[in-house]
Amino acid sequence: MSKIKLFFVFSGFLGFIFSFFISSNILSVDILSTLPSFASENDFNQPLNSMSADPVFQFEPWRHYAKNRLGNGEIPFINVNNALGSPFFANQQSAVFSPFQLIYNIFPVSQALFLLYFLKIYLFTLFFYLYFRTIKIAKPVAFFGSFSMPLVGFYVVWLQWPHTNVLMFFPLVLYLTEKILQENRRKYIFNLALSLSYLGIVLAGHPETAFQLFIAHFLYIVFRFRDLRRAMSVLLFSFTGLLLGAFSILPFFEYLVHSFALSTRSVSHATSLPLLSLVVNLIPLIFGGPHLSHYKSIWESVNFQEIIGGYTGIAMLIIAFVAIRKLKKNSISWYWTMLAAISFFLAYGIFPFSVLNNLPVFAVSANHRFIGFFGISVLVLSTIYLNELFLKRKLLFTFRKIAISIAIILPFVAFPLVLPELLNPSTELAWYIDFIGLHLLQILCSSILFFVCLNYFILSKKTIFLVLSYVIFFLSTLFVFQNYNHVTEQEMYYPQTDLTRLLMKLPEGAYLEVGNPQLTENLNLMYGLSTVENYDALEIETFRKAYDLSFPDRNHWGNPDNYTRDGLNTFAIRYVISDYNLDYEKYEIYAERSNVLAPLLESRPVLINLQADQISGIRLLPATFNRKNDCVVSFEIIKIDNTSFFKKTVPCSDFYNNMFFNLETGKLNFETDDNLILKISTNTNDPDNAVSFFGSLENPYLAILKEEKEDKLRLIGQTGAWRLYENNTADEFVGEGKFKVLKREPEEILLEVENEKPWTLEVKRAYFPGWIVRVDGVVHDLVDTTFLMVSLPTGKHLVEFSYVPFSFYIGSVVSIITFIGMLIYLLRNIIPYLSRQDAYESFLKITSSISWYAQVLLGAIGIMLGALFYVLIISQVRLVFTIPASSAINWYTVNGYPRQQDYFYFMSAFIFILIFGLLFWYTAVYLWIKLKK
Amino acid sequence: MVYSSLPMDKIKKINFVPDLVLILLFLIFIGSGMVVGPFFGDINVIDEGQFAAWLRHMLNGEHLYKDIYSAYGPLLVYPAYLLAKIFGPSVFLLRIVYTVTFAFIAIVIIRYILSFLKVNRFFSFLMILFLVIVPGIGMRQGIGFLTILLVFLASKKRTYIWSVFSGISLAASFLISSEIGIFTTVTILVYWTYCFITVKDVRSALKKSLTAVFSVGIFLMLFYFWSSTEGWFSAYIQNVFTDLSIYSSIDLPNGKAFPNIIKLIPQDSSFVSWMKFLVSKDALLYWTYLFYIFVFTYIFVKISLRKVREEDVLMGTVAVYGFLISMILIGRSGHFPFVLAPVAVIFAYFLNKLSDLLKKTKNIKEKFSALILIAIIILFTVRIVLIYRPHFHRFFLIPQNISLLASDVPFIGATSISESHRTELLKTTKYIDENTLPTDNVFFLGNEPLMYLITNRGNPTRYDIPVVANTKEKRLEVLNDIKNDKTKVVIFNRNSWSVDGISNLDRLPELMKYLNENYTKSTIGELEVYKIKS
Repeated sequence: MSKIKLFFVFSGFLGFIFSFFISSNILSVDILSTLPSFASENDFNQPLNSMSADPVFQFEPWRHYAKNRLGNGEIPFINVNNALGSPFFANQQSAVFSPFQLIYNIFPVSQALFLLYFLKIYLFTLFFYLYFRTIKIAKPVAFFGSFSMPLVGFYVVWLQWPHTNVLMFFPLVLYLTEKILQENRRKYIFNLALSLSYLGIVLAGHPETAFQLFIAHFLYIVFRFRDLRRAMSVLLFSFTGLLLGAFSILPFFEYLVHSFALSTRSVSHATSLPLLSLVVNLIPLIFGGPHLSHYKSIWESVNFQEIIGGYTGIAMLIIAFVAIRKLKKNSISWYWTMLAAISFFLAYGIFPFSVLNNLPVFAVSANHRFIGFFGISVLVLSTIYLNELFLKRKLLFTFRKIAISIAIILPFVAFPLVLPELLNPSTELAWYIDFIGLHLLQILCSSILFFVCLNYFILSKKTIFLVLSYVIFFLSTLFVFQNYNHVTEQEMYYPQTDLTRLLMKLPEGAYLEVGNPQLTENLNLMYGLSTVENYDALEIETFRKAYDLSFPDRNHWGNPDNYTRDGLNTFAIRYVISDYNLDYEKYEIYAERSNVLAPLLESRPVLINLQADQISGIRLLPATFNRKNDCVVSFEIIKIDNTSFFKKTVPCSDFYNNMFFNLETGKLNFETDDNLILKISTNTNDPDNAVSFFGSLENPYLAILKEEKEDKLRLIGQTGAWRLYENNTADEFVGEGKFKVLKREPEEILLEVENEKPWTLEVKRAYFPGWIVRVDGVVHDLVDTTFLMVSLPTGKHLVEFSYVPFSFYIGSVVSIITFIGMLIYLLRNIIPYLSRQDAYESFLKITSSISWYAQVLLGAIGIMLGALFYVLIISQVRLVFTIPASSAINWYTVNGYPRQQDYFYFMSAFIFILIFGLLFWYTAVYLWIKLKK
Repeated sequence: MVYSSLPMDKIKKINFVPDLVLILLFLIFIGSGMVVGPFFGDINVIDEGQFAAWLRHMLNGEHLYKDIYSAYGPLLVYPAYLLAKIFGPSVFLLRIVYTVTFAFIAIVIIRYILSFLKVNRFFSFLMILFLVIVPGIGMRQGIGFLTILLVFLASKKRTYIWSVFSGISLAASFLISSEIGIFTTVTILVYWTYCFITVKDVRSALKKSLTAVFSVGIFLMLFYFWSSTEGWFSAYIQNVFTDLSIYSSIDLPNGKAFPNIIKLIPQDSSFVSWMKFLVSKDALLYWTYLFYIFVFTYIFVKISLRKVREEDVLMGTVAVYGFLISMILIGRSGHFPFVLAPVAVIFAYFLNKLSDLLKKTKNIKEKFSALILIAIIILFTVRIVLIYRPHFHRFFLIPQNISLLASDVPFIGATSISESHRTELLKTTKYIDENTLPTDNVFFLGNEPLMYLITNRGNPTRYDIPVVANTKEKRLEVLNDIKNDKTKVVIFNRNSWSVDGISNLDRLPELMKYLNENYTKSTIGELEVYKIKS
């Protein structure tokens, strides 16, 4: 085994062993601190990366939910805890059957998370190494190139997302395609491996990236294959992989077709990155970063995470540019050049490639994420070019050129370093320029060092210089992305709060968030709670539209900012979490909230004109600048003549960035013609320790609470950050008749109902194709497409609502047939191969020398011994079977006998004895000959 | 390998028509299994009775599945129904259709398979006789065999017509019994998989398979047009899916645990008790599976040694089919005779091979080994025949039965039955005639569906055998149907068979509660009569 292979094996093993010592989680759960209900009572600091929300708010809860359901032996088709039953398996991002989910099911969370990310990096590297070697890249360069790959910006920033679950397969697919092109003898193995890779891509959980990968792979086939038939064969085996994953793809398409997301996206355009944002891929921290103390989002439509995907470091970018110009032109270099160009133009929506954004699929796809493929292409081009230089012992840049470059660039870099000295050093601008200067210097120094080391490597061919180059590249990437995927302590992992504790104690029921997000959808899955909302990037169209109609008043978080009793009852919402007092009507005086006012300073209080006859509370939208400020803020309501009606001081730590703050004033009554002023002042003049408010350019957002409602919800708990109300008129089952719930599972509801006249029963579960209803075992029509509703005849009946995932069943049939086809293909190829082996020939010779009756005797002994061993094993291993729930009255239910145990013992015994018998025969024949000899 | 041209000419042409004529005469005049024939023998009020009830209801305009619950496929019921339209419904007709014709067709198919397996005439006849004596052979097993035979022929012949036939047969297997349809499909898939692995001309094999699949589609399409025109297609489909889920789960109406061999092992070391144990009825179930394991091992070994022949492949396919249908014994071990046909075919194959070997070899060890194996097969076969020996005494009653006139019980036809059976049937008939109008519905609470035909009364529910309405939704359906129909009379015969030892009075608690509250109960001999309170 070569040293490099040994290295890969050893590092894989080391990573696995290391995972056992991991006690922290690679999960940015500190982002929970942005939610007032968590921040107010847990010892959270500010989140280290404000963009790591999805892994915490979506992927981890989904993994957790899938683990629980799979652990119970169920396929989680429906997530009953979200949006009154939303499709779960059909949402591909839940990746229920992904190999990563299997790891998560087996290992403890911290170890599983480590293994998950480690494997993603490890396999991506390994697959690229294999690919590079297949395209004849020299070992050290392939080693360098493959280890550079996980450092591409896209892979780093999306590491915790399912995008990289898919992207991980890209080099594998290329490697297998190359092998199919080059191999003649055992091509079938690579064909099958290609199909299995595509199955992996399907199960990995990100259809958009899978689509992008397929486009990139298709181009590779176009560039690399001259023989159309062979190219078609590769495409066929890729497609076979998709057919193999039909059990997952078909439910996804069904959900997509019925999704709110598709109906919304079909009227919007595919997103592109602003061309100017390219600068971030050159000077990555030019606007700071979400994982740094300062970050400025310049473009509204895209954030740091989206635009940094193409980052590879300037040095690599320069090499790639030189490579495009100087590289020997062959189909591989052409492909990577074209892929770099196409992905670049697509990502930035540059004409003529922007036209592609109007094509089907492209039109609803996030094409700006092609930027990841651009980054990968840059690194591959660099690697190929380095290989050429390495083989020809040709320098990348002469030392002279490097020196001249330094002389030219250095003054530009040095200028920002001295500029702050000319300005007032204490200002933010000076600090920023200082930072940028250092950043540019870092980029320059690391690039120069990198080039120098590479030159030495090419000249001397000593691996140490290559390692040094890699270390420089690694450190400069680390400098940019340090703490992007950070570790949090075990105790921070979805901690209990007063709100979760209270909700968990209460009877089961869905909750609605009004105002601030406190326990956002999917987070509830970590606590076994139910919410009426769902966010899985798809959502059932009919349900979502009905929901939007019932709760039209939305805030900047997308949460309802108010409620109606009808709305609550329509969606069987039992609990309402609100930031403000729902006993009062809310009136928005200044509704604008798109700007941030200048920081509130002692010298600069905010005065707001008010006209109100009554005030019971005030609602504002503070900006804390993502800091923990230790100032205090005073609120005072005064008349024009300075008569004070109300005054209260609150610490700035009670404010949460971009979260509504509520000030309870008590019931204050005014004359209608009173000119009132709300004065907001503070005790600090330090802008770095000050808060501000969102609003228009002139006034902060302001709402007042007044006029007590007649129809109030029952308050059942509150803290400074939230109030929890109960709606006691919400019913999950609505209808005139009597009913008894016999079974209430995510995919099945069984009711015994009775009424003296025909009636309609409504179950507050979201309707989705696949739900059927049986009345006394006979299928009836559902009469609504938002909830489950059925018309019932008089009398006593058994009503069963069950989710029958036809798309999954049809997909499974396709998958099974494809699997059988692949098995046949494998056996057809492997049997002649094995038959040609010398070992098999000698085996045939041996067995034909043993008489048939001796062989029958051996087989019979094997079968009998197998039966005996099986009996011995099952008498020692006492399995416990529980009787499944059943309404039937038969011998099994009367005697409490779990029938499935007979199936289990039957199948296990049959297979065990058969295999044992066969193995015994093979072994005995082998030993027979040995003894004879 | 398999798709290579079949040396059909090499198959020894045997004229087995005389054998089959003998079998047909046996079936008509002696009868299959229980020694029950068209001309004599008490009526099985459940198994035969359900078909009788369905004929009665269908002739009165009701539709299978929609108005009548049936666990069988339409192609098993409709032939009798069509004949009943011509000749009128009777037990005699049912026996001509099921006990004679369907059993005979199945036997003919099996005989053909044995000839393709190159089994000699003696062993073929012996095993067919075995199948006729042991109850259970019928069209349900037969259609599976027919499909296997046709698929085998399709793979051998150049013409595509056999593929078409095999597709039609496969589709028909679903319409005769959905359970058998599934088992046959899996068997055919295994066979095709093997063919695809070994065949040289994949394209031709694929064309033939697709032709068969296409034929399945066409046949099912025709079925769809027929059943949907009559308005029972969706009820049938629903029935099939419900039954498949019920019969594979704990909800099945009739069934018990598979005998636990460990608990059956004798506690003493006496040779006699061990021998008794080894040849007990329960142990025979395990022997069957051991035989299957042996057969699969044999096939694997042959494949490994590259010695597999065409007849091995056919025998292996029959073994797969046999193994699959034998899985119904899990929960329904009483159906043991039903799954014996494939075992008989495999036995005939091995007996033939071993006897050939016995004749040819001079090696004493070989002779001895062959004899041992033959002895084991014969022992197993004889033991099964002996298990059903209680029926043999009926042979002696045949002359007496033949001499009797046809019974005066209505709808019996030319079949003569025992006096006690006749008296019992007439008692119920008389009561119904006297207390209800011909237009009234009556519900027989015991498992005696035959009474619907004998008394010529309708059933207010879909369930002629109440035991099958064992899940709550079906129990409530029965209750609602009786409530809505305001059925005048509900009859429970204490002599009716309590399936698995659980009386229907315990199986239908909701109905019993309703009957006790709204009906008055009286007793006439063995009959418990519930009359609606006016």
